[in-house]
Amino acid sequence: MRSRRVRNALAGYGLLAPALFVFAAFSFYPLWRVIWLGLHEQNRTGTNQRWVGVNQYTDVLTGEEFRGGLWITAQFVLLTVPIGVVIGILLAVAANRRLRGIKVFQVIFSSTIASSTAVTAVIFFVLLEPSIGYLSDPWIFDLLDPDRAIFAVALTGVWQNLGLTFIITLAGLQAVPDDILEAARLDGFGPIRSFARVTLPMITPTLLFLSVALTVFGLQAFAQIDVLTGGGPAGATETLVFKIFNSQEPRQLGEGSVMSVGLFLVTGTVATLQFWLLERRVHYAN
Amino acid sequence: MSAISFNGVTKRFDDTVAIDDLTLDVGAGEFLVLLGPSGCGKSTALRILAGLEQATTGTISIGDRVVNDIDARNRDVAMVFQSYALYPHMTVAKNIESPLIGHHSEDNDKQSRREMVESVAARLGLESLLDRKPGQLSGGQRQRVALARAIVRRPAVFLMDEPLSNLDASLRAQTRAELVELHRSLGTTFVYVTHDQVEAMTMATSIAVLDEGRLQQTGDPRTIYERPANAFVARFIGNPAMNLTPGELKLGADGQHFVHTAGGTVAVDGRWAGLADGQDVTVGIRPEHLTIADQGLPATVLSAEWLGYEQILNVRCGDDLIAVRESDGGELIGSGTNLRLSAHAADIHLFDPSTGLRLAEAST
Repeated sequence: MRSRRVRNALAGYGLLAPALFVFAAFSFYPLWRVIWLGLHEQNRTGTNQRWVGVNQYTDVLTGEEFRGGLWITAQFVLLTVPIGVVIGILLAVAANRRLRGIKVFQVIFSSTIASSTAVTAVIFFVLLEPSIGYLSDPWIFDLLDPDRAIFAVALTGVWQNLGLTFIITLAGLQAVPDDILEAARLDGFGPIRSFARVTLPMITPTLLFLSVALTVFGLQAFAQIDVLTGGGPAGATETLVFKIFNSQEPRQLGEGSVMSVGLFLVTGTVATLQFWLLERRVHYAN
Repeated sequence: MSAISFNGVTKRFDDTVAIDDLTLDVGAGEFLVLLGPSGCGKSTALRILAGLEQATTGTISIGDRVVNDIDARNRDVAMVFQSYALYPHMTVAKNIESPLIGHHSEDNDKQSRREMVESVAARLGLESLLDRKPGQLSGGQRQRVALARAIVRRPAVFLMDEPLSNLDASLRAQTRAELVELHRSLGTTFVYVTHDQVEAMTMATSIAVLDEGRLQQTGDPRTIYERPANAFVARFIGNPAMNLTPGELKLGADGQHFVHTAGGTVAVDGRWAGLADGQDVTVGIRPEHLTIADQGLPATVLSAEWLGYEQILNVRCGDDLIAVRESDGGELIGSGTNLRLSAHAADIHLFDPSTGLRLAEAST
């Protein structure tokens, strides 16, 4: 009896071991290492470090640099996620029809998923170029204006995510059974009321997943900022990831590590909060 | 005045013809069952009536309105779907209330809507389930909610698309009786689609049999059973199916008429005296009309299915394999038994072998 339980437990751990090893090597160890680095200060060459303790955390996380970066990151998320989700829903609704040739549009709308962020950023760099770009507009999209550069960067972010948003929302829409929509029609609801009463509540799990994913993407956005503005003008588009990227010199390693941990905590908190908030309004079909 | 009429309705999906020139009138207050095998077009006919599909040609009227160009939501019909199509995110109460909100009228404020929902729920025994979600209900309960949602608004026509097919056998029998009672008490026109002849025979006031998109016969259940219009209807209604075999009609001058078949000779009555002597016919005899007798067609039992209250014998008679329903409550009949079968002349049907149509009978 007892030996069988032991054997079962051993077999269980044995089966867990490969996954545990991968997580330990590529996730837990790096995380611990970053936390550890955040507790130390490196010398100029990175050959030696000095324990500075939690002070470095409190100093950096309450400092101007981190809070500024967090604010810019928040702006980027707020500009990309809601607009991205809404446009994605509109495109998915438009393409969710049984029309000849609709597949062509479905492929076009989902194509941004297949273009790399760097390529997208380069295309938009040309489109937004202040003197020749079609989209450059001194009122909204102006890469040279510290107050407006974030809009131009966010535009690229929205476009980049559109394919993913479209595909996931379309899949959500197609999972709504036809006869439920027909029942709504016979109950007297037109297309718009039927969408609001039936379709939207039924795709909320999809939209929940999407908004969490897009928020995490937004919090971690880097490539389009690097290509489009390099963090400028005057640091106006320096998001947290960008600042972390810029702290690779040995002397800044401690500070960068603290910001990484800070971003990790922010991402975790936001995702948890989103799940908690939306879960209460979400319907999960059983 | 008929409550519903299809007039020359044809529906094509690309190359396939789902419904071929359907003309059908349904009287007010009827319980019409559209009956046929799968793919016969019965569901398509119902969906065209509901406005969920457009007819390719022909007109559909509900009451005195031609509804071809009227959107489904304005046709004043309610439908129970095979899957029930309940809104999974709404409570039972919200599901039932939904058509009252969709067809909002002035005398339907929140208070009166609640009263209507509660009265329908009480009628169908759903009072205790009003706050549940469909996912928490059994199949039978979901079926009732779908029914409640359909009747709450008192539409002009109720449409039902195989609403009992997801229920188990005993619940199905019980629900059949309840639907008949519901139809009687509401007095509204029902159009009901099914492939199940038992549902059709037990509930319908009128049956329309469809096959391959074409209407085969309309009539009350008794007429359909007793005077099938063609060989398809004859075989589709009744279980086991009617035995059909080719034969030759011999009219005797003395009023004694016979059909000669490979298995033997059967006597037929004067109804067929107007046909030509020596004409080729298809003879139809239902399994329940064949009895084991001292003389008649010689047959050999191949197998027997004992059902308690009756046994179904599969016998060879001449070259034909035919079914016999034996309900005398006698002893079990083993395979290999030789016996003789006879049938009353009045129970014999004759069809045209080439067209399958019922041959003309002289009025008796």
